[in-house]
Amino acid sequence: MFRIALLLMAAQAPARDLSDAEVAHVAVTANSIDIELARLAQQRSFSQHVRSFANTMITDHGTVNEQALALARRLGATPQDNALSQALTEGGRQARRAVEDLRGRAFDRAYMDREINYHQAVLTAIDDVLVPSTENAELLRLLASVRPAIVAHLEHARRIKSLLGS
Amino acid sequence: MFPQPPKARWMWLLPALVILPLAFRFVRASSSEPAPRRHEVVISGMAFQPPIIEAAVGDTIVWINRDIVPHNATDSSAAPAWQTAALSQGEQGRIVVTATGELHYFCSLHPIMQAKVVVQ
Repeated sequence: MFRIALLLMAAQAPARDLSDAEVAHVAVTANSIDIELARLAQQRSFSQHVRSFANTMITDHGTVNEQALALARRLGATPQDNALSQALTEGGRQARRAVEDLRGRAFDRAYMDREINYHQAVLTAIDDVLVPSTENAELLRLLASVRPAIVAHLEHARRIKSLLGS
Repeated sequence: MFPQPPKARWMWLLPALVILPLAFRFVRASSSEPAPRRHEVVISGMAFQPPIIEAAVGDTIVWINRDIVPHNATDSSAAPAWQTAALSQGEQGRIVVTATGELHYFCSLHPIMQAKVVVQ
């Protein structure tokens, strides 16, 4: 559902539809959603692989958020809420509802499925919406430096999912 | 004064005869050994660059993180013998190579990042 919401938004949003302040808000929102779900995984999972992955998500997405907010402060811009951020937030709520009642391996599999979908969707959003919308060179550099990390997270999530089995 | 026995006249030469060749040999050996080198591995784009380093015993391997997210370098062995600290952007970590062989390592935070040091 989360991925579908993002892909729909990405498909509907024409290039350069978002301001830089809105792009920053989308980035911060996407990171915050994944951090929140990773905290739930730390509480629920007994898998060392899943817990370690969740730790990395908290660290990495937290670091990116610090940099995005520092950049916004430097530019004198306040990240602005927008339709894509709202869709992300709603998708994040639904993703949490879908996994929060699960336990054990069922939780692990659902969480990793969700992480795979989430990172695929974020890549699509970066390529199809955020980068084409961004005008500020520093914000573009930040997005470019974040993209390889999202690719690595996606590959990491796929490996853990395959270790967990079906 | 008592007359010295004939043997004692050259006894003082003995230490010099032993030490000088040893010292000469040590100096020659030292000058033929290459000085320890420093090898840099840049962490960028979620990869170790270069992915393979050739080093010698005594060399230092330095990892410099240019990525936005933290990384480390961790021995890939089943019982890891070494690991750098988590390196934030701009930070460096290092180890000194102490044995020959292939040192496979990875980033324990992002296990898809793997590389090796070949020690000759």
